[in-house]
Amino acid sequence: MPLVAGVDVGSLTTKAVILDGDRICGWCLRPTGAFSQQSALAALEEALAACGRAREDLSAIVATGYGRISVPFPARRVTEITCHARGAWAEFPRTRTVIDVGGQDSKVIRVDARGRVTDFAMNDKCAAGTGRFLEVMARALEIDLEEMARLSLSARGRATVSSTCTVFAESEVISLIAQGRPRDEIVRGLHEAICDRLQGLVARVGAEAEITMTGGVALNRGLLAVLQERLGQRINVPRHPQLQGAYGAALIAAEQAA
Amino acid sequence: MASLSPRTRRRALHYALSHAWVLSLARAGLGLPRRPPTEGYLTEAVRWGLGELAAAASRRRPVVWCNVALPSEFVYGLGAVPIMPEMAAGFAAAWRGAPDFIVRADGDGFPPDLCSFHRCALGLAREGWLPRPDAVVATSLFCDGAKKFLAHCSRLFGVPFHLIDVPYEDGSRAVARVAARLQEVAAALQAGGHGFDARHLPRSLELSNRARQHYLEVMRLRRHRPAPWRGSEALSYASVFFMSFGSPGGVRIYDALRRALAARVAGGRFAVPRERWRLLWLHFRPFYPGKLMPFLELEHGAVIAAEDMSHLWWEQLDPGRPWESLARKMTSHFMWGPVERRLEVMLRLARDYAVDGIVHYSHWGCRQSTGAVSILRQAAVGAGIPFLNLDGDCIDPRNGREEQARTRLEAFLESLPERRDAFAAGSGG
Repeated sequence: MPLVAGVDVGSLTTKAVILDGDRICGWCLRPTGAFSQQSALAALEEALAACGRAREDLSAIVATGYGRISVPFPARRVTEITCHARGAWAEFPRTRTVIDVGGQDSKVIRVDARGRVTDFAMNDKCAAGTGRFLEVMARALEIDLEEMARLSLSARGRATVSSTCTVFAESEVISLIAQGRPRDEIVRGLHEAICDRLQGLVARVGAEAEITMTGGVALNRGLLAVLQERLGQRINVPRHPQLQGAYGAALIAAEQAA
Repeated sequence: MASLSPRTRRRALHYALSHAWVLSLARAGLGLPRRPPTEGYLTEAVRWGLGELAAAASRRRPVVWCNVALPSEFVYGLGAVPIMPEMAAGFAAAWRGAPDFIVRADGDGFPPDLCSFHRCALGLAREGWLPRPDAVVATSLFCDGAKKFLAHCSRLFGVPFHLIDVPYEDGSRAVARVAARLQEVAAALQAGGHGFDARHLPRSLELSNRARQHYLEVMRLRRHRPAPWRGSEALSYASVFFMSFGSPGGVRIYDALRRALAARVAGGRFAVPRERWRLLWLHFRPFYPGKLMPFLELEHGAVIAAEDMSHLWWEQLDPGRPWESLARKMTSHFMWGPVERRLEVMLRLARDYAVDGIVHYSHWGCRQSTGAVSILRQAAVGAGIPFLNLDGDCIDPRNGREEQARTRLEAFLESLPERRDAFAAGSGG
């Protein structure tokens, strides 16, 4: 079976997945930092090292994510939209809608019964409703992302965060803290604000069951609960949602190598 | 112009010197062999543009500032030069000067969500880059912001402002009303001095018809597969399309273009090396230099085969009945009236040019186009044609988000075979 790789160079993190046949034999997740080319190379090398293989063993590489254009090794370039769709569908074949919340953008993708993209919608103009948004808010609240999820689930009320801009929302959060609003209600309000945006994107392409969520934000159980409640259905979460783009890329590489 | 920033002046100079017409003139001056005459449409366009600017700047002919939906035949028919500040904004964007002009306009208190075409144009007006108007004429077609912006300009220069209100519904009553209003405005302009003279009108309409015949042939040639002309270039000629009909230059430009495309088709020289996809582009493109258009057409072989904004929608004009003819051209505009008009145009162009997908470029602040996106999308998808809405800004690169647009376009192109299959299988898409 050919050994292939998928490398997803995102705005916050770079991921690499090595696929040996249909088995993930190595993977890596690391911060992208300021030098995406170096990060892509390091992620690929670390993922290969994890399964004791070398770059010469690879039959094909697919690069995706915002840094796909400048990876410093020969690779086919495929957008993260196609890759996330393929990765989500491979793990949950009944998936017809993929919600991916990445570091700087969020997208909703419609897929057909064969995992192929039939439509998509993405956020525009700012990072509100993305992973970066949550990071900034967690910092303002002086809590970590894990605690955010826990607080949101235990909240009895919710604060209203009206702003659609990350920077303005951060000032709103600081004002709410100053007013003495409980942190769990603020966190819940932030999750509701993100879900407002995601719900809008879902409405643009239409939500067809099953829905699968990818990207690191899928690990936030608090946000997931709000989104499930809004959409009125259960949402699949892959074992490693952050790796789904790289996994999809590797699957496309495998098709290419076959 | 003296108050213009050195950066803007440098960019304008760089743009002027780097443009192909400079090389053409240099070749002529040095006695080098000319390009084949069939490829001379750019030279003709430059000659026409400079000629009109010279006539306006020297005050040989009166100057009318107007929006893009006022038929240029009306202005030429009064012996005047049409200046469309919205199109001038496109030129400013092309030399990367738009942000500087927009900042100037912001000083007039315009909010940032006003269309950047108008804010940039206001900056150009403020800094004296456009020939001073003798009158300002706006139509209600098809954007309200343009009327307000032009009214502001008329106050700025202390010249009369005339509005030609076009009823939303087409029909004989609408035509009669607009025809009467055109006559009223023409009479008012002639009474105001400056040399306006409506006796040029039959000649203007006759010239427009001749240009129209050439343009119809251009549109027919563009149906060829592979496409002989890149849509990105066609959209760059928007100012020519809106401002040259009714002038001798318009006839020469479209005659040269027709001959150029015919020669390309005959010689097997096409727009992109390997045409893979054909697209219909709705609304304008970003006019500032960037990677988006080369990425689309050259890197991915996705040629823009047709555009709604540069398709010819009006019937032949009747020089014997000029007012009614011009009124009919205005009342039948595909961007005005019920959305069904635009739907019909979109689906007809998609069919005639055998496109694989439709891209709507949603220019920031442009409600008259973006308001219809959902309906356009539904109609396209219903007809089995994949549709992408791309948000951006035609004039202000700071609002353009090129990398995001690139990802969306690339994902759209990746999904085209799937969408076609999905539609064929009956699942829509």
